[in-house]
Amino acid sequence: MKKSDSNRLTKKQWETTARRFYDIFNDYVVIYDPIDGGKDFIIRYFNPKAEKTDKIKKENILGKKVTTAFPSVKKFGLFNVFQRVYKTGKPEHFPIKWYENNRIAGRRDNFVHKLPTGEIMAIYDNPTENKFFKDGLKESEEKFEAVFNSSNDGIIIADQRNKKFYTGNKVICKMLGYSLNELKNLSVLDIHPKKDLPHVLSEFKKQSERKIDVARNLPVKRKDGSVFFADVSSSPMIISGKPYLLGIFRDVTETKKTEEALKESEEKFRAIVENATDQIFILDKNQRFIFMNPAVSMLFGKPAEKIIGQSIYKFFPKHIAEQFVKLNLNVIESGKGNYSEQKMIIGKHEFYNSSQLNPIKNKNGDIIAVMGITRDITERKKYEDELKKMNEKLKEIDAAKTNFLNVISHELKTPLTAITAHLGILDDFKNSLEEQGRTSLDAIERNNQMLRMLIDNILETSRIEAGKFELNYSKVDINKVIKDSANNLKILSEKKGIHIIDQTKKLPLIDADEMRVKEIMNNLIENSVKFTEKGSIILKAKRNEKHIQVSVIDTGIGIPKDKIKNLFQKFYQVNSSMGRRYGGTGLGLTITKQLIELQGGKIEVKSELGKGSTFSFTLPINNHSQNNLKGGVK
Amino acid sequence: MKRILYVEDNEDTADAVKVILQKNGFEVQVESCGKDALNKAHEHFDLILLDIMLPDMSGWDIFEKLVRKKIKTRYAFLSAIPVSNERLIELKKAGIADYIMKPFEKEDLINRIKRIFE
Repeated sequence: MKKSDSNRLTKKQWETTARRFYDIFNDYVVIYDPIDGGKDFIIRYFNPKAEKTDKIKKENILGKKVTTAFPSVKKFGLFNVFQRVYKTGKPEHFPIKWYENNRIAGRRDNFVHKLPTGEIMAIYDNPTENKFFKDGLKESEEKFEAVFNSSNDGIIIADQRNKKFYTGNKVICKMLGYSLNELKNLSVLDIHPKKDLPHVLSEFKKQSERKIDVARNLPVKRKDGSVFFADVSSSPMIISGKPYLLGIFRDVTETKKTEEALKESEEKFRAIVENATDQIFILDKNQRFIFMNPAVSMLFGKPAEKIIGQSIYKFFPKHIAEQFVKLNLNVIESGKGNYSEQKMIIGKHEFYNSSQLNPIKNKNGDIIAVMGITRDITERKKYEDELKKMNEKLKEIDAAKTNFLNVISHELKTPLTAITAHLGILDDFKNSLEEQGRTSLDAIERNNQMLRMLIDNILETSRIEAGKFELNYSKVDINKVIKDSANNLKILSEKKGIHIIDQTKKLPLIDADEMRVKEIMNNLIENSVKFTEKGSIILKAKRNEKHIQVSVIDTGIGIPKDKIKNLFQKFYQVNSSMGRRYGGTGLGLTITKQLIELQGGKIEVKSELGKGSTFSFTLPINNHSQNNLKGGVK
Repeated sequence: MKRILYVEDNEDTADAVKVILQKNGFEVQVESCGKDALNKAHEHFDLILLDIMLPDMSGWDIFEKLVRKKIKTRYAFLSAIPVSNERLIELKKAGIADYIMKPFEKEDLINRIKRIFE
């Protein structure tokens, strides 16, 4: 409701507008403020005309009692009229005349009205001044126009007796769609829909009797027949001795729509509150319920009338009520909302509860109450507890996994260390052995090497899968890594008569783990050498926007299409005889793929059976996730 | 001749390392547990080479105890337990000259031990 009020014509606003008119009136206007229930009246306002004619200085009489300032009001009976109008609210016309030497020396028409503020307004017309009237009126009309046309509201003046329009401002003409001349031929009856006339006239009547201040939402008919709604307030005025009504119109069609929308939305909110399963309530500063929704009744098992006005101590065991009161007091003292969860007991019913408390403030910003929304969260709490337990269990498993990896790595490597060390010693005696001895020693060395590689690979892939793998990022010169890898494998490839051709373009430094990039390159080139019998291996590298792309292209045996997808599985061989023929741990490509993906890249294979294969991988140039990688093996 | 104390509980490995290093001009004494190693360390050694997983205490514990006893010598680890780069930097700061991974190649072991004395 608050929002629409700003567009509403307030009592004060129309009074201000009206007083601007009184200021330029050709009649005297005086406004009195009743005191002691109408026993006397204080002079509050005096228009310039009255000031001039009665030769009175405003500051000498403003704030004084009328009986003190003008003792003659009692003599002429005008004082009684003031009191009567104040009591009944009905305006009165009270002409007075006075005599000198049995002849009429002066005459004055008095119109007395009660204003919406409760003040009494007297308008005095002085017919003895009629000879000046014409000039005065002209001047006055010009002033009228100025005030009229500076107003944002529609202003119209109508004859009080026949309801015909006397004049109006531009705003009212625009509102109604008539020209001023057209308007002057119309009356109050013409600008309202016929069916609404009884209501409109009764509203005006109420207004003139001061039963209402402003007639709200009056339907007003435009020239084109369309209807809008206006707040209308009127006040009386006298022009050349005749009573008129000054009407101020404010179009509130939009406001009315807003109000209707607001009402609708209020109803919606009410429905939400009424139907909510959460308990919604307001507690005053003394911890008594002043509002609650049906969910509160449900919770306490009591009808609303047995809860409203009662302290919360009535519904909870003391220690729980105190807990609640403490929270409420905190909200009141801090002025801040508060969310909490607590265990509750009502009778035999135990449950967990969440409560959101917020302060309610009055217009001055003082906290007058606390609004709360509470909810049964027992189920959620249960799940949370389960989740917590599960998490702890997972942490234990995780720790066990790390421990297992460390133990297995140690247990496997201990005998391997002894074997390798003794093979090192035996190597020195190799030349003193007979040929079969040397052959056997070579076989042991080869298989020991194989076993070491296999164990390293198994541990590496297990660590990656367990998220226990650590990457050491730095700026890596990928061109150098490729060149080094090619050189490392040169001996192996040239033994088979295969050339490794480096066709890489100059690339920017990338964020990566240099050791691991070397491992990737070695694995891929070695793989190609292994499966290529003749031809060459071409290394290409280029920049792809935010990534670098490296390709290893061979003229090897190729991979059947349906086997490509399995290529990166552990211990996978395209056919089972290959393992024996080509060797390898069966983990090289698995680890290669894992290492690429761990560093934010991707690997892709294209191959044609009998013609060759292309392994391409990407790596990001800037790797921003490098700080978030899983902590490694310590 | 440089004297090395090698602490290793696996007899086969200890024998092999002893032979390899002796052949390369080092004097090597072997102890198989932390307690004996702590006692032996009082005799002067130029390098104490420590396994990490030992029956009574870790190689790291031995290192700390000896440092606290102000035994002035060089220290290195010879272990199968993988170590992160961060940890390696910490170890070097603490005074560990090298961390050699098991299993090792003979040549690699000799070169790295020699480098400690350079």
